[in-house]
Amino acid sequence: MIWTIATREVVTRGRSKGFLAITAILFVALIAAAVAIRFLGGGDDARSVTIGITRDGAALVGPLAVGDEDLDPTIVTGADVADLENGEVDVLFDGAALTWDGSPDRGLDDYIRRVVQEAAVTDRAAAAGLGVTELGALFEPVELEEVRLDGGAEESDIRFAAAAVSAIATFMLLQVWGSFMMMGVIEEKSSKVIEVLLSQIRPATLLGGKILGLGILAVGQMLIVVIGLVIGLALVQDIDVPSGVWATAPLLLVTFVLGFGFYATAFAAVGSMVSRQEDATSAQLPAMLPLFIAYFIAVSSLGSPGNPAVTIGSFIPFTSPVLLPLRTANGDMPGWQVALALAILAVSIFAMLQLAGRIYRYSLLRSGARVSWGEAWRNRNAVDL
Amino acid sequence: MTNGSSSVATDGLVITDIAKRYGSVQAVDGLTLAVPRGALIGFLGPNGAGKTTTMRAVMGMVRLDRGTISWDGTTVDDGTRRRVGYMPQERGLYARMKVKEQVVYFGRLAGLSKSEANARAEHWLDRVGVSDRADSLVQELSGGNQQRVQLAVALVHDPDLLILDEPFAGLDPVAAENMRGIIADRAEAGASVLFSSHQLDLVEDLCEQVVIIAGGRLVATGAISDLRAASPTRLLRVRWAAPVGRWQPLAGTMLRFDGHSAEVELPAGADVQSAIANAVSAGPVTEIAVEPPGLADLFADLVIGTEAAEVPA
Repeated sequence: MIWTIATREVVTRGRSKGFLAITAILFVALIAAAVAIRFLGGGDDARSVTIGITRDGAALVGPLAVGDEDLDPTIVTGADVADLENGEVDVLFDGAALTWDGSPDRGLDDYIRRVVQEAAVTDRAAAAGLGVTELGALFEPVELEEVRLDGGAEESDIRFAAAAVSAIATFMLLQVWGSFMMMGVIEEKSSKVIEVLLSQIRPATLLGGKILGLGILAVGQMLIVVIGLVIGLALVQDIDVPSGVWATAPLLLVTFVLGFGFYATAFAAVGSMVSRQEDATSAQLPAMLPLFIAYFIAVSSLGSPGNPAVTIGSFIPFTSPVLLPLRTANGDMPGWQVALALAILAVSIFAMLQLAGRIYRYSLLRSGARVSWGEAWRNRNAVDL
Repeated sequence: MTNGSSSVATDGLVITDIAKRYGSVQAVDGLTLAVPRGALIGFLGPNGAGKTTTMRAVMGMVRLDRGTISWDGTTVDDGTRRRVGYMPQERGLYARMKVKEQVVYFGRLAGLSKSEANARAEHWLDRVGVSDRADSLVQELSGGNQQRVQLAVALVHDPDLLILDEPFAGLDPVAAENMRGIIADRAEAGASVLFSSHQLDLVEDLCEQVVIIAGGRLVATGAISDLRAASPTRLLRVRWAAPVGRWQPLAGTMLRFDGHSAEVELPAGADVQSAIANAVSAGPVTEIAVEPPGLADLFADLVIGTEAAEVPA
């Protein structure tokens, strides 16, 4: 029975244009963002330039033709000022001077100066009796290990980004799916279909089926987005995500599922108290507010890890769905604390089901004005659950 | 104690002494009624009489202050409710779901298998006359067609008990006739049918039995013909060969007068002979009849009577 209800939620909601559009946009946007970073960052495609060299500069044709990761030079030998003037070459080099038509191209200027400098160093070293091998040894880079007091080693920046993305994404998804849940409840109430439903099934079954169905869709959407993220990162090979960050992904999923169970129930309860879609915005405040508080704690503490508000909030069920991923991605939450926070959240779902279920089954058949909290709680005329 | 009277036939729906108070409003006050299997009973009462509360109570949607509701001798529970087809007063369908998909869904909720639900949905959509709209969204249908879909939803699992709250409201005559036929068929097939309506002419045509309530209490119950016959008032109908100009009946209330014909309600104990004589004396009569009041008049008399009696209480 509960599956019949869940299936309807998945099929009707999953088929809706809004859901498909949002999922597709998120998926494409993540890939596009990664690709854009790659192109803006330069990527592997070196820029083509043309260097004109006069007879006097002929000795450096070989070294200058090599190029580097940014520049792919073409050499025109025996060039003169006329070639520069009619745009055949970007720069004219005669062994002693660089001649430009207009302002110098900084990248090309740096490149030629570096090649000339290297050639001069090699010549002077040979004059001083040093061979290529000795010279190589002389310029052997010195490796310095990077140590950070926050323990994050070199992963720290990526971890910071992962923590921020996890917390903000969880906040947004809970808010969006909580609203979907509430809209679904209001739709059933305002269309009066609730009366037909309750003639066959109990409110608890209906609520359970709706949470299950929307939960499956929400997790499905999250997975699609994560796949988009992975594809994006694969396209941009330069960003190495430390394996420690990927290890927090399953934990993020578990936290999201529990957080969804908690918040979807709360949103269902506030949705059941109103009869019209127009009242939805004001009705959702009690469920939305703690989520916003969690979000503000998360955002304001991004620069200061170890903020006590985050530590405390990661154990409180109203804020832990957002703050727990923040701490785990940051890597500053011991395993026992994660287990404790998840256990508290799981137990709270049952408490929320009791509380919200009580409001839900009282309010469902009340039409007209918004049901007051007092009425909903006193619950005298509730349907049997 | 409650199961003591085992010798009494208890098939069908039996509602015994139910009561429900909402705040200061006593919605239902000790109501008892029965809908045996195969019976088709009209449930009548003015607005606020407690009809919807009673129907919702059968569906388990009202926590009763007292009283019992049983089906075929056992208290109604979740299992029984699977055997009930319910049509709420305000129509309830998912607006953005396709017609057939929706009927199948409710069949599934009532416990039908997928293929069964499909077959039953097709059957009933055809029977209520909207099979050509099976793939339309409900919101694209006219109000009358939505109501047909609502009936298909109530019937998809072949219920033994039909609880229909105002099934005829808003239907055109053709659709009403279609619904009437279906409801009568279900009763003939052995289902118990309880339906409320304000369209008393329809009720009179459709069913033989009625239950009339007012103020949450039973006012009258039984066969319409018996109730009419038992009424102390009579209806005098007369038609003259030529217009009679002004005419004043000797006794009773003039319900209608257009010069050519008249209808007069004669009060209890009125002298019928002199009433007829009085009408004939006005001019040559082509038709004249004295009959029990129609259901509408009977209903008005019964309900107004109880409301007057309620005032001092």
